[in-house]
Amino acid sequence: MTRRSGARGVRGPTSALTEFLRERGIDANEIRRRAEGRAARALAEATQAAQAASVDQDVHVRVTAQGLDGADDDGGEEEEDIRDHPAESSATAAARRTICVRRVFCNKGEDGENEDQVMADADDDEYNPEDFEDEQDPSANRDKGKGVASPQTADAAENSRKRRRSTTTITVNVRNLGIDDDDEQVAEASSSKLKKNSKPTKAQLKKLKKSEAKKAKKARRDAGEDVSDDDDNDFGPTTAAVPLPGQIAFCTECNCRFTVTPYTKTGPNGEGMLCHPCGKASAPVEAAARKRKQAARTTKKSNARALLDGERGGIKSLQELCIQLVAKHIDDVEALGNIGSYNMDKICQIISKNRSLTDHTMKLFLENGDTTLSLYDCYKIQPANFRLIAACVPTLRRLHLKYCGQMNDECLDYYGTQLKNLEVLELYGAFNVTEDCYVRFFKTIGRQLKEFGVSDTSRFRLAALNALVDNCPDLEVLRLRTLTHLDDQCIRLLTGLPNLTVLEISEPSMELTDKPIIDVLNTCGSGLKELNLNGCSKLTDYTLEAIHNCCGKLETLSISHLEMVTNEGLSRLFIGWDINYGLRDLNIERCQNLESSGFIRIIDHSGNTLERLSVNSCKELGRDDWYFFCYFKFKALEEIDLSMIRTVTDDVIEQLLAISPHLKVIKAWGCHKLTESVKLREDLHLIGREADILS
Amino acid sequence: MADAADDTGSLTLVSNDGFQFVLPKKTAFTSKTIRNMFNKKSGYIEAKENRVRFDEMNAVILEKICEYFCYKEKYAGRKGDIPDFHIPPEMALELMTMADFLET
Repeated sequence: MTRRSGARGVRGPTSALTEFLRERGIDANEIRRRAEGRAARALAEATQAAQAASVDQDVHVRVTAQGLDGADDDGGEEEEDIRDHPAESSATAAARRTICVRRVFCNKGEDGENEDQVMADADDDEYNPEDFEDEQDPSANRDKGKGVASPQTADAAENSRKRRRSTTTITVNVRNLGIDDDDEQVAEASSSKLKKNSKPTKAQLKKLKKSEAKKAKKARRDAGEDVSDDDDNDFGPTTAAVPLPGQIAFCTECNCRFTVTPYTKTGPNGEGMLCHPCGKASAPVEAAARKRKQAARTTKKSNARALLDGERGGIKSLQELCIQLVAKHIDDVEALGNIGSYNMDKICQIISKNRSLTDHTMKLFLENGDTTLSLYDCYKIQPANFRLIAACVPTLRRLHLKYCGQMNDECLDYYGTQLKNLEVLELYGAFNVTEDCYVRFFKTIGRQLKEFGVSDTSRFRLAALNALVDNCPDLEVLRLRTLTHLDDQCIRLLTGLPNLTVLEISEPSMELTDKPIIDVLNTCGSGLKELNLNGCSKLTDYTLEAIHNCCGKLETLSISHLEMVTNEGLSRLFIGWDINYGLRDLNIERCQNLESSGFIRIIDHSGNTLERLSVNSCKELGRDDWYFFCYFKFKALEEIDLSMIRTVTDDVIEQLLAISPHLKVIKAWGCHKLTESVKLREDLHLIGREADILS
Repeated sequence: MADAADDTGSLTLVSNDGFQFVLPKKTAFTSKTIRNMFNKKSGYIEAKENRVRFDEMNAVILEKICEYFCYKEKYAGRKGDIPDFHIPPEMALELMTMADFLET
């Protein structure tokens, strides 16, 4: 380590001490200046001591000690302490102490021992001729002063400064004087009691100054003060000038005298302190800066949020702004009045998203005579209020309720009897409703039901589904989402619903096999416009074959997470699928076996009609190349999800844009090769690019 | 048809309590409804008189709407720091229906 060479001057770039000093803003020149000032003062005092009779010595030392700690209130204790050593003649004591301090100075620079060790060293009264000789050479001294900065010197400098402040003859501006002035002033100050004879040399000044500082330190230590703490506080350039709260200081701006508090501000450049009026004057600037910083952070946050939400930039329409505002103050709204179904629904969506759709706010959306009601988050709504829906709006034809965890049998029974016109019911998350209740409900109202959706319940089982199939012959839309007890036997029952146009069997807890699904497709496949088999992970290419054979009207196909489906299977689905005129919406997320060859078949068949396409996590895509893009055209494509496909690069996106004129949204999460330099159209929205998120 | 409406000159919007707001046409055409009124082919009387009377709106609401037109024109196409458009909450519902009507 370079520490060993510290005595010569710590210069190495690797030195921790150098770095520390630089960080605190301490440089050699400043330390030298302080040390010299201190030495001058010490010399002046020593000179006085030499001139005074040995009888006076005790008194003089006392004066010095008081001068030193004038800012503190413990002068009395120090006095006593110093009286304990009256025998030493002032000259020898001064010389000896000089040596001690010198050694402390060196030791500290060399190995940075802890405070106690250094102090013990300093208290050692043994005479060391080498050190003494060293001391005689002022130039050597100065070199050391330059290279080494010890907490001790900083402390001593601070002490001397404090003293200067507290003596009456010297004012604050002493600090800014040159070294010669300093010497004179200090000497003058401390010898105010005795007559000043001659100006001492610098070397002497230095020595004596140190001895004096040391003495004061020892006195304080003996008096039980925590000197080391003080040292730490005094070290930095900013804190070095900071007196403790409760003390008196002088403002660097207006020179007035004031009491320091914990809130006192440091002056410009970290020098000195500002009095309260001056500190206040500088406050608005700081506050403005803080505000700007805060605003920048908020903007950054909201930008990130908007990006994740897929929001478009630019100015929102006035209508949008108002809707958001109303949603924000929804608790204060007494009635929404006749604001139109679009606005009403939008507000409902926003407050549902904010989870503030409560018993109170829900009532705002119940309007007698309405035929449609959608509540997107009913988790706070009590059973009584579910009944209120049917009581207030008996004309309802379409009812969508999500997260209705508190919905119970009574409510659904009440709906069955009260809502005479009900055709569409979506009941998501109603896990308290029992199977018997479903059966009763279908028996009562099944004839008129056209659409039904249910999700997230373990109580919708075979019996309920059986009742559904038996009682709802006109059912067109059936959505069965995340049901726990949906098995092959249940699926087979669906063959009794030949009029289905939309069938969703997504994410069942049990594993469904091909056979029943194929049976269902054979009965109702020809009429299906939308088929969703997300997460039926046991389904294989046979299901795809059935889709190929049956589903001529299919427009929306969602088969995400069908991990057993192969590239060939997907290819065969689209090769020669002439009965189908093209899909508008295709989701093959995480069908991981899909390769470029299969993808080409998809584009070949549905390229002209596809509006939304998700090939999220189809990792094999474009492994060789994306060259095939140039042979096709996505005439209608508006949204594509290319997330987690590692081969997507800037070029791929640019090619894609070239062949899809209507593309508005690209999702590209986890496409790490995509950079901000990709050329995008003005109206295109790229979501999930790493560069955007990290910036 | 945006190109069918001449967007030079100014027009006057009148509230139901008689306040008149004179705006450059270009600014007022932020509203699709107003732009359609000034479509030459439609031949509405508003287009001839350069004056639109809104019987449903009082001056307070209309002023806010005009303010939004200017806000929109000023900041459209800008990126970065766009200040929020301030709407008093008590005005929001009424303003919302009017914005709906004006397609703003």
